[in-house]
Amino acid sequence: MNIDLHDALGTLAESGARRTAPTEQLLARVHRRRTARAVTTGAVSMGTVAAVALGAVALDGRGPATGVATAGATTTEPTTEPSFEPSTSEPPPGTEPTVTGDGLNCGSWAPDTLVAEVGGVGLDVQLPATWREGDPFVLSGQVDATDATELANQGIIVSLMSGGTVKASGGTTVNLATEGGRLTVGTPFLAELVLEPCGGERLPAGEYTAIASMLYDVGDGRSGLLQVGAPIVVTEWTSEPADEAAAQAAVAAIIAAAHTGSGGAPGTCGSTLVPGALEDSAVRVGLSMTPRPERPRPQHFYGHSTVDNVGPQLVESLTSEALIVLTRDGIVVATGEAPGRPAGSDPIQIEPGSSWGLTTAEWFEVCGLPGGAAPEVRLPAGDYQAWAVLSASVTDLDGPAAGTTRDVTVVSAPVDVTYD
Amino acid sequence: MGEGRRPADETLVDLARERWHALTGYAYLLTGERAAAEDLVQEAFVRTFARGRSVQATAVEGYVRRAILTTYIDGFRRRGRWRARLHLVAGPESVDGPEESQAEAAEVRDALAALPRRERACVVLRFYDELSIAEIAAALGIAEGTVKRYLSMAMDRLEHALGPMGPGSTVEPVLVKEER
Repeated sequence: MNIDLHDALGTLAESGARRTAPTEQLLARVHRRRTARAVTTGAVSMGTVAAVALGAVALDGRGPATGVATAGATTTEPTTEPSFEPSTSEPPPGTEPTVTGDGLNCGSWAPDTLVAEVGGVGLDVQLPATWREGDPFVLSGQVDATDATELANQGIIVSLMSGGTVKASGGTTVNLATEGGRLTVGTPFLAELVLEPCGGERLPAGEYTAIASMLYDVGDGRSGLLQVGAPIVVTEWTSEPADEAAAQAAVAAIIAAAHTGSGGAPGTCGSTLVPGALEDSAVRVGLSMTPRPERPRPQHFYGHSTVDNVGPQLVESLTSEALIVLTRDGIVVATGEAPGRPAGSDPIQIEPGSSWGLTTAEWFEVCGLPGGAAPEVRLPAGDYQAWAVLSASVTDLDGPAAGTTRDVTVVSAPVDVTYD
Repeated sequence: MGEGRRPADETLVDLARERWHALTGYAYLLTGERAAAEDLVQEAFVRTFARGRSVQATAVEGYVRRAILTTYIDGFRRRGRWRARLHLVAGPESVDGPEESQAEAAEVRDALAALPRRERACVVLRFYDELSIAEIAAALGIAEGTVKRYLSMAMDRLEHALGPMGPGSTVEPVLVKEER
């Protein structure tokens, strides 16, 4: 292939262009933004902003619902286009309902109606009947499309509702199998996500309604939400003695195997990490482990790593090359996870003197040794050390070695953590 | 036109009707997703017109294009909170057209998607908008040398992914800019 880039970009732009402008939707958005600007410019409190937003919802005829729709979502056409306009400010967790009735965010009211099929696109989700607090929330489903072409984002949000408001929510992307990028009838998906309780409190055990929401875009400018709901029982996170013993044994097995094996690449399960052993003059990796004692054990700490380019070279990596791991006795026994992590492989390019937030860990799982499956146990209690690990390439930009690239693996200083 | 609209609203409607196709195509080169491209253009419109002041009709497309670019460089994520919730960027989407050009467009799209954000913007500005190095530097607020470096690295990556580039795909030659 001998590509003329100008022509190729022109063709590509043409293929991605939209022909019809949603002018009324645009005007509505502009007017809402003007209203928000007028309110905030007038130095009125955020509470007033929320009141304005709520007023707009009421004008749309989407006032707070008193109940919650459950399984068997309606399939009627919506009387108004589902609202998906982001608010100008995120409501503080745990506040009273302020913004919308879409059932997506903390503080949101329940939707008036759950619309699971619009314009030839339908959402069918199998929500679990029970969910144990702190476990990843796993759901499967299927998207049906007749003559529709695409779903924006291919992402899904799950919220748990009680008393007419959202009590916990979380989201992730889903990978839909498509034919040539187009949805077809019966496109299945499997999603795993973290549900975050609103207000920073433990989510009380009990009966809730789970709502799965997916953004749709039927290709002619119309977009909105497809939603399916079902009752769900939330149980409290506990660790039975037998489970705990099995988890401790699994971790001990990883350590024992590492002592007898040759060890893997730094950061892989069973590899050895030593403070100060993997440093580089161009790259520094930092790690913070924020305690969240109100969460169940696997989520007790929120990990966040950063990378600083402290040299004159260019640092490049992929998000998939950034890890946060836990060690015991210097051996990697658990890995940090976040929703959708496997799909994240974006290139990272860090200029000299720049810093990047690299990766996060919402929870930690006992890892599987190379060539083996991860043991089906939950992270056992005890003391660990957390590390951030980054593999990157470092390229000289100036001087006689300009253009020369070397591969490095850099590890942060360890952070001591205790899981009760 | 609806009643009670401000002059800025009239300009918005005219621009949207006449240039939506071109603007979403431009945004698509940056985002690689149709829906994200349209959302990016919408956000650019909102940023341009939200002040409610009269906007000179002859210059307004330039403002919107600039807003598309800066919003993209700033790390725009579709639907704000939706993206924040999802934590991730969605995958590539389909392209229409004859099979051969569709296949090439898909390869170009995938190669663009693998570029870091600023490199990608430089490629689009250079080879689609046909801006000079100095104009790209001004548009992105970076040094001309940095633009050259971004373009050089981007071209290396694109050639690695797509094979040799044809005439007119080099970084240095000054291209004649067409009147739009």
